[in-house]
Amino acid sequence: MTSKDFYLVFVGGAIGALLRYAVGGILELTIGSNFAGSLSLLLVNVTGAMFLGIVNFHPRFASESKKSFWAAGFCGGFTTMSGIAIFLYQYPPLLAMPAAAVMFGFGFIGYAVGANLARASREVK
Amino acid sequence: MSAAEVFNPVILLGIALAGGLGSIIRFAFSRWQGYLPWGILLANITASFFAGWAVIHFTNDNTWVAITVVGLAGGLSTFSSWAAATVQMSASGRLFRSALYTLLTLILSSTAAYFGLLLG
Repeated sequence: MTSKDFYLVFVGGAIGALLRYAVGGILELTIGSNFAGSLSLLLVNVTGAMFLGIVNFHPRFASESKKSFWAAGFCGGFTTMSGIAIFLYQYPPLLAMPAAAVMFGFGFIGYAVGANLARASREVK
Repeated sequence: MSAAEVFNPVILLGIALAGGLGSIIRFAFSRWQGYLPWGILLANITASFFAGWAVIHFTNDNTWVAITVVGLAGGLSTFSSWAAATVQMSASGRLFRSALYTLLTLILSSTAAYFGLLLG
Protein backbone atom coordinates (compact mmCIF):
# COMPACT_ATOMS: atom_id res chain seq x y z
CA MET A 1 0.00 0.00 0.00
CA THR A 2 1.65 3.18 -1.16
CA SER A 3 0.44 6.76 -0.88
CA LYS A 4 -0.32 6.58 -4.61
CA ASP A 5 -2.67 3.64 -3.95
CA PHE A 6 -4.50 5.66 -1.29
CA TYR A 7 -4.79 8.62 -3.66
CA LEU A 8 -6.20 6.40 -6.45
CA VAL A 9 -8.67 4.73 -4.06
CA PHE A 10 -9.75 8.17 -2.80
CA VAL A 11 -10.42 9.52 -6.31
CA GLY A 12 -12.08 6.30 -7.53
CA GLY A 13 -14.22 6.12 -4.38
CA ALA A 14 -15.24 9.78 -4.72
CA ILE A 15 -16.35 9.25 -8.33
CA GLY A 16 -18.14 6.00 -7.46
CA ALA A 17 -20.03 7.59 -4.54
CA LEU A 18 -21.02 10.57 -6.72
CA LEU A 19 -22.27 8.29 -9.48
CA ARG A 20 -24.28 6.22 -6.96
CA TYR A 21 -25.86 9.42 -5.65
CA ALA A 22 -26.57 10.58 -9.23
CA VAL A 23 -28.31 7.28 -10.08
CA GLY A 24 -30.50 7.62 -6.98
CA GLY A 25 -31.19 11.30 -7.69
CA ILE A 26 -32.16 10.74 -11.34
CA LEU A 27 -34.44 7.84 -10.40
CA GLU A 28 -36.07 9.93 -7.65
CA LEU A 29 -36.75 12.73 -10.13
CA THR A 30 -38.13 10.38 -12.78
CA ILE A 31 -40.08 7.64 -10.97
CA GLY A 32 -40.62 9.25 -7.54
CA SER A 33 -39.19 8.53 -4.10
CA ASN A 34 -41.35 5.45 -3.36
CA PHE A 35 -39.41 3.11 -5.62
CA ALA A 36 -36.23 5.10 -6.35
CA GLY A 37 -34.44 3.97 -3.18
CA SER A 38 -34.85 0.24 -3.70
CA LEU A 39 -34.38 0.34 -7.48
CA SER A 40 -31.22 2.45 -7.29
CA LEU A 41 -29.77 0.10 -4.63
CA LEU A 42 -30.43 -2.89 -6.88
CA LEU A 43 -29.07 -1.11 -9.94
CA VAL A 44 -25.81 0.19 -8.42
CA ASN A 45 -25.03 -3.00 -6.49
CA VAL A 46 -25.64 -5.42 -9.35
CA THR A 47 -23.89 -3.34 -12.03
CA GLY A 48 -21.05 -2.53 -9.59
CA ALA A 49 -20.56 -6.22 -8.80
CA MET A 50 -20.61 -7.07 -12.51
CA PHE A 51 -18.08 -4.36 -13.28
CA LEU A 52 -15.80 -5.59 -10.48
CA GLY A 53 -15.92 -9.04 -12.08
CA ILE A 54 -14.67 -7.47 -15.31
CA VAL A 55 -12.00 -5.40 -13.52
CA ASN A 56 -10.66 -8.44 -11.63
CA PHE A 57 -10.25 -10.60 -14.74
CA HIS A 58 -9.78 -8.39 -17.78
CA PRO A 59 -6.13 -7.78 -18.77
CA ARG A 60 -6.89 -4.09 -19.37
CA PHE A 61 -7.19 -3.67 -15.58
CA ALA A 62 -4.26 -5.90 -14.65
CA SER A 63 -1.93 -3.25 -13.17
CA GLU A 64 -1.93 -2.52 -9.43
CA SER A 65 -2.75 1.15 -10.06
CA LYS A 66 -5.80 0.28 -12.14
CA LYS A 67 -6.93 -2.25 -9.52
CA SER A 68 -6.63 0.40 -6.79
CA PHE A 69 -8.61 2.97 -8.77
CA TRP A 70 -11.29 0.76 -10.35
CA ALA A 71 -11.72 -2.13 -7.87
CA ALA A 72 -11.03 -0.74 -4.38
CA GLY A 73 -11.93 2.83 -5.35
CA PHE A 74 -14.66 3.03 -7.96
CA CYS A 75 -16.51 -0.29 -7.47
CA GLY A 76 -16.22 -0.06 -3.68
CA GLY A 77 -17.50 3.52 -3.64
CA PHE A 78 -20.23 2.86 -6.20
CA THR A 79 -21.74 -0.12 -4.36
CA THR A 80 -23.02 -0.04 -0.80
CA MET A 81 -23.81 -2.51 1.97
CA SER A 82 -24.86 0.12 4.52
CA GLY A 83 -27.56 1.23 2.07
CA ILE A 84 -29.01 -2.30 2.15
CA ALA A 85 -28.78 -2.43 5.96
CA ILE A 86 -30.77 0.83 6.27
CA PHE A 87 -33.15 -0.23 3.50
CA LEU A 88 -34.20 -3.25 5.61
CA TYR A 89 -35.73 -0.87 8.19
CA GLN A 90 -37.31 1.57 5.73
CA TYR A 91 -39.76 -0.92 4.26
CA PRO A 92 -42.02 -3.60 5.79
CA PRO A 93 -40.07 -6.82 6.48
CA LEU A 94 -42.20 -8.83 4.04
CA LEU A 95 -41.07 -6.51 1.26
CA ALA A 96 -37.55 -5.67 2.44
CA MET A 97 -36.26 -9.19 3.17
CA PRO A 98 -37.12 -10.71 -0.23
CA ALA A 99 -35.81 -7.55 -1.94
CA ALA A 100 -32.49 -7.86 -0.08
CA ALA A 101 -32.31 -11.56 -0.99
CA VAL A 102 -32.86 -10.63 -4.66
CA MET A 103 -30.06 -8.03 -4.43
CA PHE A 104 -27.64 -10.56 -2.94
CA GLY A 105 -28.63 -13.17 -5.52
CA PHE A 106 -28.31 -10.84 -8.50
CA GLY A 107 -25.09 -9.37 -7.10
CA PHE A 108 -23.56 -12.86 -6.88
CA ILE A 109 -24.69 -13.68 -10.42
CA GLY A 110 -23.62 -10.25 -11.67
CA TYR A 111 -20.04 -10.69 -10.44
CA ALA A 112 -19.85 -14.19 -11.97
CA VAL A 113 -21.20 -12.89 -15.30
CA GLY A 114 -18.70 -10.00 -15.32
CA ALA A 115 -15.80 -12.32 -14.52
CA ASN A 116 -16.83 -14.78 -17.25
CA LEU A 117 -17.27 -11.99 -19.80
CA ALA A 118 -13.75 -10.75 -19.03
CA ARG A 119 -12.33 -14.28 -19.27
CA ALA A 120 -14.17 -14.88 -22.57
CA SER A 121 -12.86 -11.66 -24.12
CA ARG A 122 -9.33 -12.60 -22.98
CA GLU A 123 -9.61 -15.99 -24.68
CA VAL A 124 -10.92 -14.42 -27.91
CA LYS A 125 -7.80 -12.27 -28.05
CA MET B 1 -37.15 17.13 -4.25
CA SER B 2 -36.28 19.31 -7.25
CA ALA B 3 -33.28 18.76 -9.52
CA ALA B 4 -31.59 21.82 -7.98
CA GLU B 5 -31.96 20.35 -4.49
CA VAL B 6 -30.76 16.90 -5.51
CA PHE B 7 -27.76 18.19 -7.48
CA ASN B 8 -26.76 20.96 -5.06
CA PRO B 9 -22.99 21.61 -5.58
CA VAL B 10 -22.31 21.60 -1.80
CA ILE B 11 -23.90 18.15 -1.51
CA LEU B 12 -21.99 16.86 -4.55
CA LEU B 13 -18.65 18.13 -3.22
CA GLY B 14 -19.40 16.75 0.26
CA ILE B 15 -20.35 13.32 -1.11
CA ALA B 16 -17.21 13.17 -3.24
CA LEU B 17 -14.90 14.05 -0.32
CA ALA B 18 -16.72 11.82 2.19
CA GLY B 19 -17.00 8.96 -0.34
CA GLY B 20 -13.26 9.17 -1.04
CA LEU B 21 -12.47 9.25 2.69
CA GLY B 22 -14.73 6.26 3.38
CA SER B 23 -13.08 4.37 0.53
CA ILE B 24 -9.53 4.84 1.83
CA ILE B 25 -10.61 3.73 5.33
CA ARG B 26 -12.16 0.60 3.77
CA PHE B 27 -8.99 0.08 1.71
CA ALA B 28 -6.92 0.14 4.91
CA PHE B 29 -9.38 -2.25 6.66
CA SER B 30 -9.27 -4.65 3.68
CA ARG B 31 -5.74 -5.76 4.57
CA TRP B 32 -7.18 -7.76 7.50
CA GLN B 33 -7.90 -11.13 5.95
CA GLY B 34 -8.04 -14.65 7.32
CA TYR B 35 -10.66 -17.37 7.27
CA LEU B 36 -13.02 -14.63 6.04
CA PRO B 37 -12.35 -11.11 4.69
CA TRP B 38 -12.60 -9.72 8.25
CA GLY B 39 -11.58 -6.19 7.31
CA ILE B 40 -14.33 -5.77 4.73
CA LEU B 41 -16.84 -7.33 7.14
CA LEU B 42 -15.79 -4.85 9.83
CA ALA B 43 -16.01 -1.95 7.33
CA ASN B 44 -19.56 -2.98 6.37
CA ILE B 45 -20.66 -3.33 10.00
CA THR B 46 -19.11 0.01 11.01
CA ALA B 47 -20.63 1.78 8.00
CA SER B 48 -24.07 0.29 8.68
CA PHE B 49 -23.99 1.44 12.31
CA PHE B 50 -22.82 4.91 11.28
CA ALA B 51 -25.46 5.17 8.52
CA GLY B 52 -28.21 4.23 10.97
CA TRP B 53 -26.94 6.74 13.51
CA ALA B 54 -26.59 9.52 10.90
CA VAL B 55 -30.05 8.98 9.38
CA ILE B 56 -31.63 9.76 12.76
CA HIS B 57 -29.08 12.30 14.01
CA PHE B 58 -29.30 14.50 10.88
CA THR B 59 -32.95 13.75 10.22
CA ASN B 60 -33.86 17.39 9.48
CA ASP B 61 -30.80 18.18 7.41
CA ASN B 62 -30.77 16.64 3.91
CA THR B 63 -27.27 17.96 3.17
CA TRP B 64 -25.66 16.18 6.12
CA VAL B 65 -27.69 13.02 5.56
CA ALA B 66 -26.41 12.90 1.97
CA ILE B 67 -22.78 13.58 2.96
CA THR B 68 -22.66 11.14 5.88
CA VAL B 69 -24.98 8.35 4.71
CA VAL B 70 -24.46 8.38 0.93
CA GLY B 71 -20.88 9.67 1.05
CA LEU B 72 -19.02 8.42 4.13
CA ALA B 73 -21.02 5.28 5.02
CA GLY B 74 -21.56 4.42 1.34
CA GLY B 75 -17.85 4.80 0.60
CA LEU B 76 -16.82 2.81 3.68
CA SER B 77 -19.17 -0.08 2.92
CA THR B 78 -19.08 -2.21 -0.21
CA PHE B 79 -21.32 -4.75 -1.86
CA SER B 80 -19.05 -5.60 -4.79
CA SER B 81 -16.29 -6.95 -2.52
CA TRP B 82 -18.81 -9.26 -0.85
CA ALA B 83 -19.89 -10.50 -4.31
CA ALA B 84 -16.28 -11.05 -5.41
CA ALA B 85 -15.35 -12.94 -2.23
CA THR B 86 -18.42 -15.20 -2.20
CA VAL B 87 -18.15 -16.06 -5.91
CA GLN B 88 -14.45 -16.89 -5.51
CA MET B 89 -15.12 -19.00 -2.38
CA SER B 90 -17.97 -20.86 -4.10
CA ALA B 91 -15.96 -21.43 -7.29
CA SER B 92 -13.17 -23.02 -5.26
CA GLY B 93 -15.59 -25.32 -3.43
CA ARG B 94 -15.61 -23.45 -0.10
CA LEU B 95 -19.41 -23.26 0.02
CA PHE B 96 -19.73 -23.25 3.81
CA ARG B 97 -17.34 -20.30 4.06
CA SER B 98 -19.25 -18.44 1.35
CA ALA B 99 -22.60 -19.01 3.10
CA LEU B 100 -21.13 -18.08 6.50
CA TYR B 101 -19.68 -14.84 5.12
CA THR B 102 -23.03 -13.93 3.53
CA LEU B 103 -24.99 -14.67 6.71
CA LEU B 104 -22.54 -12.77 8.93
CA THR B 105 -22.58 -9.79 6.55
CA LEU B 106 -26.37 -9.67 6.42
CA ILE B 107 -27.05 -10.31 10.12
CA LEU B 108 -24.25 -8.17 11.61
CA SER B 109 -24.72 -5.24 9.19
CA SER B 110 -28.48 -5.09 9.72
CA THR B 111 -28.05 -5.44 13.51
CA ALA B 112 -25.47 -2.64 13.50
CA ALA B 113 -27.83 -0.43 11.50
CA TYR B 114 -30.58 -1.18 14.04
CA PHE B 115 -28.39 -0.05 16.95
CA GLY B 116 -27.32 3.00 14.96
CA LEU B 117 -30.95 3.95 14.36
CA LEU B 118 -31.63 3.38 18.07
CA LEU B 119 -28.76 5.58 19.27
CA GLY B 120 -28.98 8.34 16.65
